[in-house]
Formats: sequence, C-alpha cells, structure tokens
Amino acid sequence: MKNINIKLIGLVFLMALALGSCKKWINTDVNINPDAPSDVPMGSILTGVQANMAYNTIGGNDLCRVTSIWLQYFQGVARQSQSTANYYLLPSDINNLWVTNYTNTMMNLKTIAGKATGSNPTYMGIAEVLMANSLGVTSDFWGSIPLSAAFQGVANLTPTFDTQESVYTEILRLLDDAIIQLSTPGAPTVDGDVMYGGDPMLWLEAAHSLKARYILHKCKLDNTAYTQALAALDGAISSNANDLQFDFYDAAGGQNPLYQFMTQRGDITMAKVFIDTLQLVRHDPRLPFFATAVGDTAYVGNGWGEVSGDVSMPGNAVAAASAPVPFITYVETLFMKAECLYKTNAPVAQVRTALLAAVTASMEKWGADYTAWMGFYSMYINVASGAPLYKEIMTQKWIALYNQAEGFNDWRRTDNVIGLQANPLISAQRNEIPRHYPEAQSETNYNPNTPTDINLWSRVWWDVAAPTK
Amino acid sequence: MRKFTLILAILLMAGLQGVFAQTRVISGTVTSSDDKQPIPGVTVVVPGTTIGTNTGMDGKYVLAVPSKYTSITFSYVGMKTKLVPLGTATTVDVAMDNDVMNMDEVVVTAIGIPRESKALSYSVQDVGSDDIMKAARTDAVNALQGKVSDVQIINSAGVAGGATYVQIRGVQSITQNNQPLYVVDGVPISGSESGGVYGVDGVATSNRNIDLSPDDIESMSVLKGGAATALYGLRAASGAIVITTKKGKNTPGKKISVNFNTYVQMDKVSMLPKLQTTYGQGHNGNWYSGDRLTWGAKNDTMSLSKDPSVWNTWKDFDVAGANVSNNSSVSKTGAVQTYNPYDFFQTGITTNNALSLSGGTDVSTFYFSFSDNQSKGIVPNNKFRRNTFKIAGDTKMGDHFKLSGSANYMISGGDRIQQGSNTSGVMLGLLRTPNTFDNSAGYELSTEQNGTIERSYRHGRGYDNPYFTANKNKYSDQLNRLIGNVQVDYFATKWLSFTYRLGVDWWGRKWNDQLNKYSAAAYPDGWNKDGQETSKDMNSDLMMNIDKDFAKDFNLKLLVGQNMTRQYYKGMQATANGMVIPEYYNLNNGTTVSAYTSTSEVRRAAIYGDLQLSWKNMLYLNLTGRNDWSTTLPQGKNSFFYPSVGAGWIFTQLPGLKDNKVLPYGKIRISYAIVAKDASPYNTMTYYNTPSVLDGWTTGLVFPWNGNNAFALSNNLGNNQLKPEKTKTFEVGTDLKFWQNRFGISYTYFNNKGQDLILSVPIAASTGYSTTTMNAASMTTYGHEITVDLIPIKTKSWTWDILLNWSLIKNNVDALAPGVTKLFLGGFEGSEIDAFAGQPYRTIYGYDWQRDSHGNLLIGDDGYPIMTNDMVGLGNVDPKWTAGIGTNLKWKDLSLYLLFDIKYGGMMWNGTRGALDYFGTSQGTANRDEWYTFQGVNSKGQTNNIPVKLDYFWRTQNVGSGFTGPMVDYVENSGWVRLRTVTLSYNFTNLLKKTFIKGLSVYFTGTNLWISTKYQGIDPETNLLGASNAQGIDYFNMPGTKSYTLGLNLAF
Repeated sequence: MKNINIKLIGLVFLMALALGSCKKWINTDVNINPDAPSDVPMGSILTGVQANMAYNTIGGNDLCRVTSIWLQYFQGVARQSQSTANYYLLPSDINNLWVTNYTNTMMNLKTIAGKATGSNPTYMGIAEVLMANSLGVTSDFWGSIPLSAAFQGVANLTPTFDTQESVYTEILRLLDDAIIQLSTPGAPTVDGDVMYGGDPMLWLEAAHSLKARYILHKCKLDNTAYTQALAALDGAISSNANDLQFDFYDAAGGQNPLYQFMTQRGDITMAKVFIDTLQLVRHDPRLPFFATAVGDTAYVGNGWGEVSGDVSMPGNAVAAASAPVPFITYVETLFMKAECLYKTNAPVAQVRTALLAAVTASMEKWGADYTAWMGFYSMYINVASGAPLYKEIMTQKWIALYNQAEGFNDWRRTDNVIGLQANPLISAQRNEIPRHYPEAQSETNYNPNTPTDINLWSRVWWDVAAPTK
Repeated sequence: MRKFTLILAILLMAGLQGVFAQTRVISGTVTSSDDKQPIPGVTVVVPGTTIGTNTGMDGKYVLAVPSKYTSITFSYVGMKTKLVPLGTATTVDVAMDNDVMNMDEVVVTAIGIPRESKALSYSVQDVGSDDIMKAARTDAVNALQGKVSDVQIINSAGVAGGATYVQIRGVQSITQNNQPLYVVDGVPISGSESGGVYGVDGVATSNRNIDLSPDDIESMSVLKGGAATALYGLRAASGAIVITTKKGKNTPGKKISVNFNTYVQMDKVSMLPKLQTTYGQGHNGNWYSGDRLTWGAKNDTMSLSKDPSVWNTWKDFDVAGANVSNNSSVSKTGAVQTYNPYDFFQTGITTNNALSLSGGTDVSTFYFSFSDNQSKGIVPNNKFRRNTFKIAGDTKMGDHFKLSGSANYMISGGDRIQQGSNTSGVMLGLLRTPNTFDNSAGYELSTEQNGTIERSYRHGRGYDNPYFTANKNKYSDQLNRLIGNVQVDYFATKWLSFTYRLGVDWWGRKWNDQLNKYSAAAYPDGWNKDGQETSKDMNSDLMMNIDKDFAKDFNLKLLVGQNMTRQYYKGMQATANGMVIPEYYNLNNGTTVSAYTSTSEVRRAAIYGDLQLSWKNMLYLNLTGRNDWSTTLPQGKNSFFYPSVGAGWIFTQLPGLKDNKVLPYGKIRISYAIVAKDASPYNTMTYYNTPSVLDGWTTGLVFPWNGNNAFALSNNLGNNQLKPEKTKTFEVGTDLKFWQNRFGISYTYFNNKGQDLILSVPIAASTGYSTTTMNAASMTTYGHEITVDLIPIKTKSWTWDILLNWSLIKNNVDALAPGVTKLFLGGFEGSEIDAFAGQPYRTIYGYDWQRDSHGNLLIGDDGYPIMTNDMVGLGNVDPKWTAGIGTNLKWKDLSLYLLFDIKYGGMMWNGTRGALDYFGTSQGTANRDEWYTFQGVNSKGQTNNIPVKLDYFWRTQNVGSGFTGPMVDYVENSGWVRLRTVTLSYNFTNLLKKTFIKGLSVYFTGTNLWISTKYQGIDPETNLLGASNAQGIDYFNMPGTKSYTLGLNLAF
C-alpha cells in the first residue's frame, strides 16, 4: 500500500508539472497572426488606395458604368445593366462601392494622414488631395454622408450624417491645406505613388483643379462660384501629360475596370444617343477611340429597349486593357475655364478660344486626327455666342468627359443644358433621369442614422431645383 | 515519429505471439432461459483479461482459459450478464435471463469513457458497425441519417467526395462553427472545421470526416447536450460524434481472424429541374445564333437550314444548321431538333473493398486493416478515391501496465468538377443552354473561331459548355493523413488507475486548379493555381480514475484529468493568372503570378473532473467541472470555468415498483450544464492585408500590381475585449421500457441558451471598417426528442422491430449586436441566408411582392405585381420537425431493413428555377403565350382582372424572374419523405457452419430510391455553400443521387 502511495504522489506531481507548464503553453503571442503585419510603411498603403480609387471608388463600374448609362454613352442591354437603363438601382447594387470607399479608400487615407502628420508634408498633401476627391464623389452621389463622426471604429458604431454643405467645407479645407503641405520646401520624398511618382508639383496642380471643380459644383447656389473657380484654376493642371490618372496595364489582374467588365460581364453596348451625336451630327474624329466599329467604319448604338449584340462597344479610350482611369484632367480644367469665362461675362472671343483649346486638348489626349475637322469646327464656333455657345461648351464637355462620373455632376448642376431625353419606355412614376444614389444597404442595416427618405430622384444640396416658370 | 512507429511494431509483434500454455479448454452452449433457444453472438470473456470469444449460430462456444483464472462471464445485449465460477468441469452450459432493464448496456461517453447508459443523466444514441457497413456510404457519418434523433445531415452536393454538413440539436453559435467535434478513440480530430467549400462558386471539396474508412468503425455515439459534452469542453460545444474503431480480440484456437467487406454501388441522378422544349433559342420570338436566351420561336414552327445565306459565320457552333422559319424560302435540311441536357450525366460507380486481420492473446491484441474506395461520379471525370491503412494493438506489461496504440494512415482525393454560381459550373452551362443547341456535338473547335476554341451556345462566351468544363477545367487534390494515438494505463489498485493518452492528427493536402485559357469563364486566359495545406493537431490527456464502492450501496466514480491541445494550420497558394501557353499548367506560365500564405495556431489547456455517485443502482448523481485556457482570447479573459450537474433516478428500483411486469424499467433524468467556447484565432488585433481591389463584378486587381506591392488596413476591426461565449443547457427526460422490452420509449426536452455569443459583426462602413468580432449575440434553442422502439413480432423464425425517432427544434435569435438586426450568413446580395434578431436562425431574406395589409398582391395598372423596395424575411431554412422510421423484418437468415426519413418543412431558395425563368428554359416558361391574371388587388383595392402574359418582356425586361425580380416566388418548401435506405440481406453463416468460413452475408442496399417532395428542382438535400452555416441555397447545385449497392462480407 505504501508503495502505491508513493507512485500516486509521483503521478499527482506529474499532473501538477503538466499544469505548471500551462503558462508557457498558453502564450498570447501565439494569437498574433504571422501572415499579416500590424504596421506598414505609408507608401505601401498609398499604392493600394490609388488602385482602389481607380478601380472602384473613382473610376469603377458602379460609378462610371451606371452614370454612363444614365448619360446615354452606354446602353444597358442585359441583367443589372438593363435594370440600370430602366432606372432601377437597388441599395444592394451600390453596397460594394460604398463600403470599399469608406474602408479601403478613405479609412486608409486617414491612416496615411495620421502617420504623415508632422513628419512628411508630401504624404500629407497627397492624402488630403485624394481624400478631398473621395469625399467629393461620395457626397455628390449621396448628399449627406458621415464625416465628422466617421472613421472611429468601435468608438462610434453609428456615425451621424453631416450635411453636404459641411462636407464641402471640409473638402475645400483639405485642398487648401494640401496646397500648403505640397508647397513645403525640402519635404522628404514619398514612395508608392504610382500616379505622379511622388512629384509634389504635379499634386499641387491637381489640388488646384479639384478645388475649382468643387467650387463650381455649387454654381446653382452661389453666383460667385464661377469667379472663385476661375481664381482657383490659377496653378491648375497644365497639360495632358500632367493629368491625375491611374494607368492600368495589360496583364491578368492589372487591367482597366471597364475592360474587365466587358470581357467578364458584357451587358452594355454603346448607346444610340452618343453614337449618333458623334457620328451623324458631328463626324467627330474621336469616335474610333470611343467606340468599336461594326464592320469597317460604321458605328451603331442601341436605342432604348434595344438589346442587340451586333453594335458598337466601348472603345479603347475607356475600355482597353491598359486604358487609364482619370481622376481629374487638363481637359476638364480647360472646360471649367471656358464655362467660367462664359458665366463671368468674359469677352466672347476669349470664351471661344477657351472652348477650342479644351476640345483640342481632348483630341490630343486620344491622338485623334483633328486638323481638318478642327478647321470646320472653329468656323462654327467663331460665330457662336450666348446660350448656344454655353450649350456647346457643356455638350463638348459631355463628349470629352466620356465615361467619367464627373459628367453626371455637370448634367445635374447645369440642369440638363445639353438636353438629354429620359428613357421613354418607362412608366410615369419614374420616367426622369435619376439624380441621386440610394443609401447603401449595409449602411441602412447597421447605422440607424442613415436617411430613409432618399430615392433616385432626390437632389443633393447643391442640386437645387430650378425655379418653376 | 520514429519512436511511435517502433512502439507500434513491437505491439504488432506482441500480438502475433502464440497462445500461452497451461490452459484448459472450456466449452458449452448458451441458451435463453425464456425460450430455451440457443443465443448466437454471446460474448464469453475471462474477467479482467482480453481472453474471450463469441458463441456461434448454434449458441456454442469454446474457450481456452489459463489455469490461474477461476471464472468466466457471459454477456449479451438485452440479457443479464452472468458470472460463472469455473470448477473442474470443462463443459459449462449457461441459460441467460432477459434483462428488461438493459442494465448493462454500455455507451461510450466523453473522453472515451465507457459508462452504463442507466447511469447517465443525459441521452446518448449510437450506431453500430453493421448499420454503418450496410448503409454503404463513403462518408461514414451518413450512416447516422434518420437513425439518431436531432441529428441533421446534409450532403451538400451529389458529387463524388463532396462535403457533408452535420448539426446536432440545432445551432449553438451564430457565425462560428456549428458542427460537432469528431473524436476517434478518445482523440479529437480535425473534422468539419476544415475542408468544405470556399464560396458560392468553385468545386465541392471534401471535409475531413470523409477520411475514415467506415469499415474500421465499431460504433459511433452521438453526444448531444451540454451535459454529455461538458468534459470535452469548448471544442464540443456543438455536440460530439465519438467514434470507436475496431480492435483485435483474443479468440482461442484462432490466431488471426480475417474480415473482408466489399461492395459495388451504382449512382444515378435522382431529381432534376423540369425544362420546356416548346420554344427555342433567341428572344422576342425570334431565333438568333449565340443568343443567351430561350425566348425564341416555337420549335415546331422552325426548320434547320444550311443555306449559306443564313448559315455562315457561326457554322461551327450551329453544327446542325441555322434555325429558320418553316415559311422561309431558303433551303432546309429538316425540322429543328431539341436535345436533352441531362444526357450529360452518367451512371456513377463506387467500389469499396476492405480487408482486416485481427487477433490476440491474453496479453496482447492487434488489428490491421486496409481499404480501398473508388468512386466515379455522375458527372464525367468526377472521381474520388480513398485508401486507408490501420494498425492497432495493445499489450499488458505485468499486472499494472497496459500499453496501447493505433495508427490510421489515409490517402484521399479526387478530380472535382466546377459547380454552382460559376460560369464554368456544369449545371449552369447545362440548364441555361437552349434546348435547340446540342452541347454534346463537340466542345472544341478545330480552328480559333472569333477568339475562342470553345464551342458553346453563346459562341464561346458567357458560360462554358459543360463538356468543356468536365474535360478542360480540372481540379484535383490529394490528401495524406495520419491519425494516431498511444496510451499508457497504469492500474495502481483495483479502484485506482491512471491513463496517459497522446493523439495526433496530421494531414497535408495539395491541390491544383486549372482553368483553361479558352474557357468562356470570366477570367481571361485562364489560370493555374497550386496550393498546399498542412494541419497538425495534437491532443494530450492525463487522467486519474477512481471507481470504488465505499459503503454499502454507494459507488463513487471520479475522473480528474488534464488536457493540452494544439491546432496548427498552414496553407500556401500560388496563382498564375493569364495562361500564355494553352494547357501548360505551371506557375511559370502566367502573365501575373501571385502567392500567399495563411497560418492558424490555437493552443488550449484544461483541467477537468467528473464525479459520479450512485446509490443502490437507483439514484445517480453526476458532477463535472472544467477550466479551459485558450490562446485566442486576450490575457485576463482566457481562463474560464464551467460546470455541469445531472441526476438520474431509476424509479422502478423502488421497493413497490420493483419487478413490475408491465413497466420493468423506468428512469427520469435531469441535467444542467454550462459550456463555454473561445473565439477563432487572430481576432484581438487589427492587421494590414494585401489590398483586395474588387468591384463585385470582375476579378479586379492582383498585388503585386505592376511590380508594386501594397498593404491596406484590414476591414476587420480587432477586439481586445473578447471573452468566452457561453451556452447554458437544461435537459430533462425519461426512459421507459415495457413488457419484456417489447416496447420502449424515451423522451427528452432540452433548452439551450447561448449568451455573449461571439460573432463576426458587420458594422456600418462609415466606421472605417466593415466587420468586427464581438460578444454580442444571444440565442435560444429548445426541442423535444422522442425515440420509440417496438418489437411487434419475436418468434423463433420471425423478428420484426421498429425504431422511430422524432425531433422538433425551435430556435430564436434573441439578439445579434447593438444596432444589428440582420447578419449575412451566405448567399448572394439580394438573395441571402441571414440570422435575424427575433427570428429563427437561417432566415431566407430577399425581395417580396408589394402586398396590402391582408397579404394580397398589389397589382399595378399594367396588370403585373410590383416588387418591394426593401428586403424581408421569406422563410426559415430549418425543418419544423424531422423523423426517422426504421424497421427490420427478419425471417431466419433473411432480413429486410427499411429506413424512412422525414423532414417536415424548411424552406430553400430555388435560385436555379429563378434564373431559368429569366433564360426561358424552365418548364414554368412554357406558358409564355397564354393569358394569365395575377390574383391580387389594384391600387383602388379592387380585385385585379387585367390579363397579362408571362412573356419575354415580363421575364427578362421586367421583374418577372428570379434574376430580375424578387426571390419570393422561388422560396420553396424543401421538406421530404424519402426511403433513405432499403437493405435486403441474407446471412449464409448457418449454412457454412462446417466450413472454415466463420461468417458470410450478402446484402443489397438502395439509397434514396424514393423521394416525395414539393421541391421543384434537384433533390432538396443539397447546399451550394457545402458544410457551412449558410444552408438552404440551391443555385445550379449538382443534383443528388440515388444508389444501388450490392455488398458482401466474409469472415474466416
């Protein structure tokens, strides 16, 4: 019996020993993921943000394809794109856009800004320019959005929505600060900037162009917007080469979003309105860059309700594998200048020159052979004035900003001066071109502060309805 | 590892040693005291040894007993065990008494502890090897289907090697694993948690419970409630399936027993969606070559033509000719033909062969087995193969030590076929193809036509021709796995013993996924993906056991143990996107190559105790306690204790009720338990990841992008405040046995209350993140289980028994997280399976038709209903109740077994039909030219009387299909009554008594031969997302099968 007791004690001891080793065994360091870093350099974040903005939140399908259908560059011929052409856009349809915008784009820009504060004014300035652009797009499509209470994680799970007016104040503050940051002499260099190679001078130009754009958006609210925008254009993007754009490249996983959409989904073709305007009315030399030909030289777009597959498709300017996605361009800068000159009652010759410069820049952007065409066109422009001239500026801008979501802002703030018709096949209660995105499904689900009175025909703050005559 | 092998080799050698000398041979006949008939299969054992045998068909036995032993025991299920002292006589005949109290039935409970079922305060059900073998399923767990109450088993896909979802007593967790822990010979293995399906598209892969050979399994016990699993702790929070494998036996006069089991099985597609053949390819009533839709002309108005004016560009696609109107003036070659897409399916064949050798002496036993299972699926080129090798043995070293161990080595894998929401999915390609296009007339073009060499109905775009997928887009995998354990027992005294058991489960899997350069899939130029994954689980238990009668009528059983586990996983994957050279599948053949690794490591430790006190074999009290430590929770919150308490009262032991003829056995049991569970790893911090640049439409960007690598702050916000989640279980039940055991009934009520449930919570993106992990949810599940067994006939030649299982489970998600009323579990946006606060788990959620306050459809001025603007709950996936009715009719050596499986209620989203209503191929679109009046009211509240057509415009341009409109019309009742198993078997053993053959039986088994269901599609036992929490989705899933099996087992 004694013998057993000793063995017993021995075994109990062993058990105790095993327990004693628990401290080492249960080491919370085991719970640190070896496959994901907990801190990374700013440059590596910047690359990802730029790619995400280009592919999703500035140049992505959920912004550009949808607005291109509404602005009648494209016709939706199947599945969801067909619904878009019938003015259906569900809260779940734009969920991905909303979520990636707040998380992958803006939260990461906040992270860069947090790291750059006081240490690297160039990173700071770049992050501010991109943040201003992102906030602008978000607010222009959704109106009131979370901002002052946003990006706080678990500290505020239900951020309130700020008015678009206060969002615009922040956009312009960010751009003003960016201009200061980017002008800092002797600032340290930056990595990971795949758009401008870290050149603060180029970012400075983009900041000026964006500032003009966002001031101009307020033109229906404030007559001085044109004068202010004109002032902001001083120092803006100075050549096509200096465009703020993301260049894709032709390799699997490197290609332009519209290219991927056309090869992987299809569902859209060119629209009759855009094709006919360029081909029949204007004989525009940019058409071969904007659309594919059917046969040798014929361009055909689908009209309302038409779903033919044997028509023109989006061309290389927007749908090539390596087609760039522009954020803001020299062409847009020149069109803003022409519009502002017109609206501030500048001499008509000055307006005409500005318009022709803008159109020329657009032609050169795509390498169109425009010399002969421009001869005829300038004769026509040089006799235009008044409202027709204004309409021509905006029509040319509509053409030049082909498949860019900014065109949708122009269309709204000019109250359809270019005269687009709504889809005539749709029943009475929804037969106008939409002016607003629905609130994202996930935001509605998880944030009770999300507005509930928004539909596709709601108007954002600056898009005030024209006084009824 | 080398040491381990060495020990096993020694064990095996020991087992092969001869029988010891100095024995006497005892023989005799065992009969029933009831009817004086011999009883076959009685276990005759020398107590405290492994020396034993079984009686033959004539009730006779022969046993060599070493002279130092002085007694033998006779035991048989349903009989009272008899201990017979040995005198000088060498013939010992025994008459056994019926034990209506089933006193000695032993079941395996947690940590592999055998316990008498009468002593338990919770319910346990088990299934034995014969049932497992005759079910003839590759994945042994399927043998539980319909036989055990409250166990839901769903084969996710009718493919060879597909995953199986198992759920015991409903769900316990919101977003964490809800499948049981698998325990093999006391060692938890990695089972349901790994493998499975990786999304709504891709191939159906296996989960890891498929790796065990059913032929090696002696029994499977299902531990359902918290009290039953409390000792296993957190890993068994969703129940446990305790598998005991076969072991060697000491059969005197026989050195080696050989068992050979074989079967061959034929699989056929069972149910398929109904398609129309009236209308052909095209839209708006016209034929167009390459058109995606089947909204063309009536086939009987169309002819084929090879006239160059209509048949030129697409000749290689429309091989039979262009379709032209019968009235057309061009030359014609005959009438348009329609093709049956289901000719694609073939007869699947499975062969299974298993051989085992076993034997032993009074000190050592051994068991060795080999099995080979090969399946060929119903889809061409779908294959699965599994080989298993098992070796096990034990040996006694002196009077105090016993050493035992086993090793299972398995190789499994197959060639798998693309399925589901995937442009290469075979059902998607098959069912969307117009009936006038023949996919089987070649899937490859000799020359590159319009940028493709694939021949498919959309000119090589859109979806792959299913024949192309089955032949050109290959996915193959192979797994090597070792499950092994070694155990040392030290028997210090008669009542005190110690056990140490170390188990490992290691597997490595490599896979290769090929997408052909010319596939129509969304991925231009295809890909080659190579992956390797390794999983290493280790489990260590040190236990002390006390079993002592310490006063008159009192017995105490105490177990104290310490446990350590480690689960480690490492996966590596490399992808070459954009094949340069067609059909050269190598990682150097892509325009972009990317790679990533993923790791997961969890360590846990625990101490646990189990105390059982019994008084007079009448009152039983069970107490358990367990304290766990886990690395997945933050410091300070990672140690947690949880207890259970239970009592059983056999009231028929009361003096007044004892030996009652009507109710000889009655028990009431009650238990309460708390089970806690930790989080999954790496949720306490926020990390940076490689950016995911995806727009929901396309394949997006891949990093490194053009030579630039990048990181992005994770969308998943870490939480350093996590604590364990808890489920409180209350269970009460009774077991009653009437009239000599001819009728028995068991009833159990349980109630599980989950609190602080850990879930991945979606949060508003405006917080900067889209998910976080929180202790937020609470959920209640309660249910009733009834088991009835009945033996209406029992005579010398005839036996008829019936076993009925019925269970009802109610579940309510009480709360999710602050501000979260709905949680996406899986599916597609707009067609979701969700957890919804205030609703049962797994609510189908999507768009509905607008309705008035009475639920009538609101009909617009155009005569059509109107879709809602918001999504609503449209039904619950889980059934209202389930039942299994098994009946066995035996006449002499012939027996017929039938198992009916009933699932009452439960909804499924028939996304297949929804999409086919858009494409115009479904049977439901055959009425497109007929007038139809929707039942509903107009805006003025009047009954709608506007006739409309459910035509091309409604189905494709409006909201008239599951593609373009609400999902409500495609949420269907997926309940069924099915003949799950029918087995006819004949046992030749009696006829072969005089030969060396010890046993021979032949059986035929049919599986799913008959199904009755309202579901309008494939067999509703299916799920797109495999063995995941999001059940209830049918979106071009592979069809289920019915099978015919012919099997034989032979022992000598």
